[in-house]
Amino acid sequence: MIFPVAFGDKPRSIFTIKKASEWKTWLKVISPVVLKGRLPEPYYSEWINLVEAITIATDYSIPYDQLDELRAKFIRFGQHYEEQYYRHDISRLAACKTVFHALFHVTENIEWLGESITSSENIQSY
Amino acid sequence: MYYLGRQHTVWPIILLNYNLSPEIRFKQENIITFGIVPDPKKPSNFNSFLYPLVQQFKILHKGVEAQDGSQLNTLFTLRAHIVVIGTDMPARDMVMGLSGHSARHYCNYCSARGIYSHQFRHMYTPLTAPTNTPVDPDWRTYNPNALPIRDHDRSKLYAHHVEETGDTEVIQRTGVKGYIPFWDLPSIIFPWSYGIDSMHLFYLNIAHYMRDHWAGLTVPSITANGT
Repeated sequence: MIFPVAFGDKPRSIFTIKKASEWKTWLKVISPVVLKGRLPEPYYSEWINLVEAITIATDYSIPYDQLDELRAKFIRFGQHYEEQYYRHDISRLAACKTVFHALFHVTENIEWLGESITSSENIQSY
Repeated sequence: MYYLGRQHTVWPIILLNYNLSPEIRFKQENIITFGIVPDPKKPSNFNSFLYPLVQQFKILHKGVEAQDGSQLNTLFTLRAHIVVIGTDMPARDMVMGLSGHSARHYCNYCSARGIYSHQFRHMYTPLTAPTNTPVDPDWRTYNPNALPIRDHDRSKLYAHHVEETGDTEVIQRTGVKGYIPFWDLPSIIFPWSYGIDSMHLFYLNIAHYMRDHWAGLTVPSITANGT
């Protein structure tokens, strides 16, 4: 895989990744390629749906009429997480991380404040 | 305004001027450092660090006389308002006066109620209850399109009530832990003035935890193949 320098740090194994910027590159650029054929369906398609949602949600601007599409994508992933990872099973519930619930609130957060206005990515160099 | 907490060490309280264009507002020369919450542990009384900030902005809300450098003989009324509060995830619970990530009502934006796994001592808010364990009869299913968003006025009442009485029943039922100085500023809308930190959420949390799911690293281990 050819990886342009402009994309950021040289990619390393997802088991040694530490920095947020590395996770960002992995999520947006590497994972759709590397997981294809490795992560079974429907997990791969649902992951791509989330990658698309995150890409829209972290862009510099978003048309107001795209918000419904964005909301639908996050809810679709939330329901997938519910059906395939939690499976209404109390012993699996414990493996579900609290932050996944926050995905349901991303779109309304954008409606109120705009895109990623409070992301600490903005002031990493501070 | 930003709080930047890293592993509960130093928390800078900084002000960003959103009248400036995005290209320059994050430059160091345009960031006002209001204060720094020092080492080594997270503060026991975080409100005491916010109090002077809120006092200053109460004055700026009414307006102060100021002079425009280009028009030396005329005074104008300078106003400033805090409208957006950005924090990273560990700091946000404290800044919002909420109980936080292990509480039954851990969500900062809605009052959806979590379900607790006694075996693994873990809280999570699913949309529907587990089918293989009894849950409280008043626990109800949540519609992801209509989650019970926290109400500004009601949350403020809870905050006053909890601060005055220490009512643990209300703390448990709402997740509202105490009064915060920000309630005194009319420019702040609860909960939406407190923005999501998308860098932490998407990259450091969601990407990381999905890796853990697929690699079978969660406790308990649940993998994509359903074992």
